[in-house]
Amino acid sequence: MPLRAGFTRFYQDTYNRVLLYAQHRVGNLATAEDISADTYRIAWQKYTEGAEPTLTWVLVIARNVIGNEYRRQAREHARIEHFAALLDLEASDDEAELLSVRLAVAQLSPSERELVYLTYWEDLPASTVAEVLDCMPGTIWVRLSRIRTKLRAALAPAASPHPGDGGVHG
Amino acid sequence: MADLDDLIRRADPYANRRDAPLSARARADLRRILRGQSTDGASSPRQRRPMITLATVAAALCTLVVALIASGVLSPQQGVAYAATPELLEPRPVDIPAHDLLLELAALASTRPEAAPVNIVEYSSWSAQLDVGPDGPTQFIQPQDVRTEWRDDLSGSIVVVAGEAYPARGAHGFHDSAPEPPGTVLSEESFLPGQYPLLFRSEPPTTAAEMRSYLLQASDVTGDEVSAADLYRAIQGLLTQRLPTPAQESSILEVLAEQPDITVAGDVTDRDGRPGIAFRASSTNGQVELEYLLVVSPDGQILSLETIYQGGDSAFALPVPAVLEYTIWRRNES
Repeated sequence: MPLRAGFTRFYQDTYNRVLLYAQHRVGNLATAEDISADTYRIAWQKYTEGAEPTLTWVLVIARNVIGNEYRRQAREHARIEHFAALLDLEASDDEAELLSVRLAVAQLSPSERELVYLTYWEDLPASTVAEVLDCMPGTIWVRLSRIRTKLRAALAPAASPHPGDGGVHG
Repeated sequence: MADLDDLIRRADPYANRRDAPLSARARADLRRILRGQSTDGASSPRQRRPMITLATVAAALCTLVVALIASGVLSPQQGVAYAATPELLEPRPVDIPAHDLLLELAALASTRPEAAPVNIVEYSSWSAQLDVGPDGPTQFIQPQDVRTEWRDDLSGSIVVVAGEAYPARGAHGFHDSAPEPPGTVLSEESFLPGQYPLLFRSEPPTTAAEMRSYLLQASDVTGDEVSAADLYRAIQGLLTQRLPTPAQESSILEVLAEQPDITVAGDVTDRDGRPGIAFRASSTNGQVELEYLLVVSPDGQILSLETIYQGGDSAFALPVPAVLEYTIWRRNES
């Protein structure tokens, strides 16, 4: 059964990326798992209809699932829990530094946070980020440049000197 | 202190899960999906993560919540206010097939005096601010003037300054003090050798066949799946980092000439007042409908590219149609 085998392979290769994508946006693991399940259910249907599965393609599906199913829910508790999840630290040698970064990220606008998640926390190249966000790669770089400037300012007492940092992969 | 990019990456609260094996829930969901069964997670009790693990974090969280409520981020859903967008371009229809017109422009581009590749690019960039704040949308459009430069050792810089603001579509002016003063440096980054985020590492080719592969190398689209939108996206990424030679630009236009889903929108004056011909492409991800206009000068220079929202996602605080973003390239040659 090549169709099922192909989808299974795709699922195994991309599931954690999709789960992380969902969890960065909704915080709660169980909710993120539900979103992932819905995403792959849609992906399987499209795959059987001939769609070519790629990471970008399934992330766009996930983005639509999150938008459709969770946009209208009361977000107050979800947001607070989400921000709490951002602050919930695993064991780390530099907890205070990472906490500062997470707080700074949490205070960005929603679209800026989206860009940080996709670029840094989901580790996607600019071309994929552009495709997921329906915008152009050059726009991504300009936005990221401004976001990094904001984050440097927010982290100023502990940030590295300006010349010499940077270097996001392409 | 580690550099900023590394710091941001390490701040991911779930970074240690990227390479984890598939969970029992994930494996069970896959089985259900392949059998056409419901994937409701009723069999897995929902586990709530601990809210706070550090006493000091609790205090910081309270402070953050208060700050976010005050800033409106956590406020109850407000009425939708449309984001500011510029006037739409108004192409005047031209009755020539896109294939023929693009080949003609490619031929004209190849007649321009050949020049060495340039790794300094200046362009104006604007994108819709979809996060409408508590004070409502702005009444002006303020593009950003970008100058990118990189060297063979992949050191370089990106400087973004505030451009000249102008009234948004439907606005009748704005307070002079509202936008940033033109020329204000909004961000300025320097990259050490090896760190410049170059999308296309090798020199662009000068044949259409090679150029098509070259443009698509940065995306995961292959073969028959390639759309005009994919090519437009790749071209924008390329031209925001490299200024093509006439031969390279000619091959780009030849690639577009062979793309069946490009149509001629018509003669147009771009946002810098330059005459050109707009070529239209469309895309949809199943939710959002987008249209793209690539404007090419009469002598085969790519002048600008813009994205127009055509509907489909109710979360977009935009009327239909509305410009979502644009890039205007500025070159010293004319």
